[in-house]
Amino acid sequence: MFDILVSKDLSEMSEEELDSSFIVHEDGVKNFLGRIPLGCIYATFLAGLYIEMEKIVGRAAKGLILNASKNRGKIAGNAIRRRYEKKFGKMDEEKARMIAKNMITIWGKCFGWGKIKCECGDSFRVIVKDSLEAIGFIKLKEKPSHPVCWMLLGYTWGLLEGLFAKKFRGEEIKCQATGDDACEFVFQTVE
Amino acid sequence: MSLRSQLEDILKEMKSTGDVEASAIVSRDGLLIAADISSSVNADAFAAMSATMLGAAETAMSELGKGTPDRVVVESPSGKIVAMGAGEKALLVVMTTPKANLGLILLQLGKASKKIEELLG
Repeated sequence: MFDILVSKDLSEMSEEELDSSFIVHEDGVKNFLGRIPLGCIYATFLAGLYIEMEKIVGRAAKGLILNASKNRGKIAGNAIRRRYEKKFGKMDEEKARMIAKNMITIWGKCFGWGKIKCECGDSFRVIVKDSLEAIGFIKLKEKPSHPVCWMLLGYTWGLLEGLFAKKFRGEEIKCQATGDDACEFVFQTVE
Repeated sequence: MSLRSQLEDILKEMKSTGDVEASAIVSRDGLLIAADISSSVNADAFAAMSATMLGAAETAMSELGKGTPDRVVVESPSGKIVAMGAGEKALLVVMTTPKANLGLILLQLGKASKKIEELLG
């Protein structure tokens, strides 16, 4: 499974193809990469969780979720890079970009975090239609004044830092929850 | 002079008083704007924690009908952490030595916070 993740661009694969490549169903449990159990969460619960956190710590809720997600994303990125380099040698930037794109595709198509499209140029741009985080707010009929896809932003940001072994700057510049057509994230390396 | 340089100058000025070991300007949503912190400290986590401390204190005071707190002070035998709002958008947080004169630190924090509020608009 790891070899598939790091060897080809998966963005055009269907949900079914990705599911059969990366998810193992065993004893009623879905396991990602055959060893990490997966569960589902409904979007309104996630959005409700953020709303409740904001009631407790105010706007700092974003920093908490974002930083925690970024740290976990970075751990995932580092682990993939180390495993890749142990098996195939040094990971170049083109490979890191492709693996990042693959991981985000899996988050979208297998984990249900939205219809995700990645554009890789000078910067790394991720466009998400029906992001799980944004759609939760929409279903709750809440219209936040600020972008709310903190987990997706943090995880992707950390994943890029781990895979590229570089510092990035990340931002959610559009969010469906605030009225945009889709959510849009931009990541750039820090000089 | 860029906004970042002006903010960094405010932090340098805070440090020049002697008892301030580290300082940071943090957005209300917990993201780092500028910092003068040792590389051994995770500045992003420090920023998130500072905003959370102040945010939680604001909620607690408000729930108790006591208005908005002026600052949060945390003291330990190894030093103090003081977080203070710097306008609607940001907060200023400093770490000091254990012997730091709190009155003096608060006075400097107040002046610095006003400058940050003006700069960030």
